[in-house]
Amino acid sequence: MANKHLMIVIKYLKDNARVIVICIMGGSLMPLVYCRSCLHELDNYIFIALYSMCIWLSMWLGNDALHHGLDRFLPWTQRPVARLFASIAAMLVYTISVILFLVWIFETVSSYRLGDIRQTVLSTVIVTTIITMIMTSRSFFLNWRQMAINAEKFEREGIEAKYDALRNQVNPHFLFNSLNALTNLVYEDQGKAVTFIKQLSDVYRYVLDTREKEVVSIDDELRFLKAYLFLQQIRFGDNLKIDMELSDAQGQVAPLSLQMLVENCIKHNVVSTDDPLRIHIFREDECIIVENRVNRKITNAEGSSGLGLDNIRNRYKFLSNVPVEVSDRDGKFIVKLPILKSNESIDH
Amino acid sequence: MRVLIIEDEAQAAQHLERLLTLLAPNLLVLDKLDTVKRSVQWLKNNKAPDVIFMDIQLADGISFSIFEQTDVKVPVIFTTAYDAYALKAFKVNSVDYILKPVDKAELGACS
Repeated sequence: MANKHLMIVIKYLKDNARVIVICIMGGSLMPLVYCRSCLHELDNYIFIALYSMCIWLSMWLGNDALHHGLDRFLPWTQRPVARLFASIAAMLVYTISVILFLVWIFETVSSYRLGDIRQTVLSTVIVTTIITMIMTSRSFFLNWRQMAINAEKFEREGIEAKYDALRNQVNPHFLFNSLNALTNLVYEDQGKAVTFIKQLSDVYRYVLDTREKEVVSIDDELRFLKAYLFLQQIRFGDNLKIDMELSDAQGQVAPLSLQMLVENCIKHNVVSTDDPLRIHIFREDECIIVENRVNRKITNAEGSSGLGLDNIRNRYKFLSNVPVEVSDRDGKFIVKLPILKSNESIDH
Repeated sequence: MRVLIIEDEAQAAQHLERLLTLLAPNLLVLDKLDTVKRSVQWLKNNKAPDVIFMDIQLADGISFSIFEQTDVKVPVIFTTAYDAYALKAFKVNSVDYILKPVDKAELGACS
């Protein structure tokens, strides 16, 4: 245990070696600035130098730690005004109490008087404020730049998803298979054929309409999913069974995400008379779950980029704090898609 | 003529059957199969048909694996909605391939 603590201390000293050296050097030069008389009295010089070193070290390392702590709990990008006040308050409380404490220690162990405490506090606060401002603007700038990078990344993921979805929908297989199924339907059941054409155009319209959107309501996505499933069910008949229990779900999802998940199931699994594919879509807590029993196709030649799931996962990294969970265990493939609350959508 | 249809989508199989019977009234569709597994079984247990109409994408894989598992001696006509596999089809027993939706004139030209 003691060893472990020692290691932590050593690591801390190593990480901050540069700062410590600067503080020791700076502190030892301080008496030259505000205690000319000390030049003739070595004792006083050392005393003032030690005192200055302690102030430099505690101010530098302490404020740095405060700063990092606040970054974790109250980042600039989330609530900048609250963060500004928190920074100032934390810095003032810390600086004043450390100085009072150091003055008390130094005056207790020696007979030397450190002069007007108010003056010391004031000058230290001013110096610390200036340094904090520099550090803050630096971290603010870095945060801000990271935010811009994230936004850029998110936009790219979104574009990729839309492109993927568009490509899959306009994908020759999807279109030709749909038209092919339609050919027979026109003879068999004209009413159904008309519905088929209507649903096919709804599917394309939704893909085009959601190109600009980052999130959509579950209702809209479900309407689209049902149109898509109607087309697939004409193709596969009773071999494709969908159990959907989502009527009461409120909230939002990323556009095309549910459809992509269902499409994945159909693409990768056997859908035949002997082995029908059953997809179960339901809600569990704050997630939508898409689940199917795994029965993989031997070959999968319908041109899967294999990026559909990755894409959904990456898009959700920006949309939600809860990750998309994928599990492939015990013959079941399960994807948990977090439901997005209306205000949670984009707050990065 | 005795014909076997291997096609995973019921609608497409039905359409093909209707066109075939229309073109050749004495033609007999022996069976309609939707998977590689069923097709291999059927071909092993039954007398070979005169011709097989075969979709390329089947419910459990692509139909070329049927040729790896059985020795198909009869002519095969591939039907596909998208011609990405057409060239590969000629390496096996294929006599022709048709694009779906199947056209009566095109199907007539096959025979």
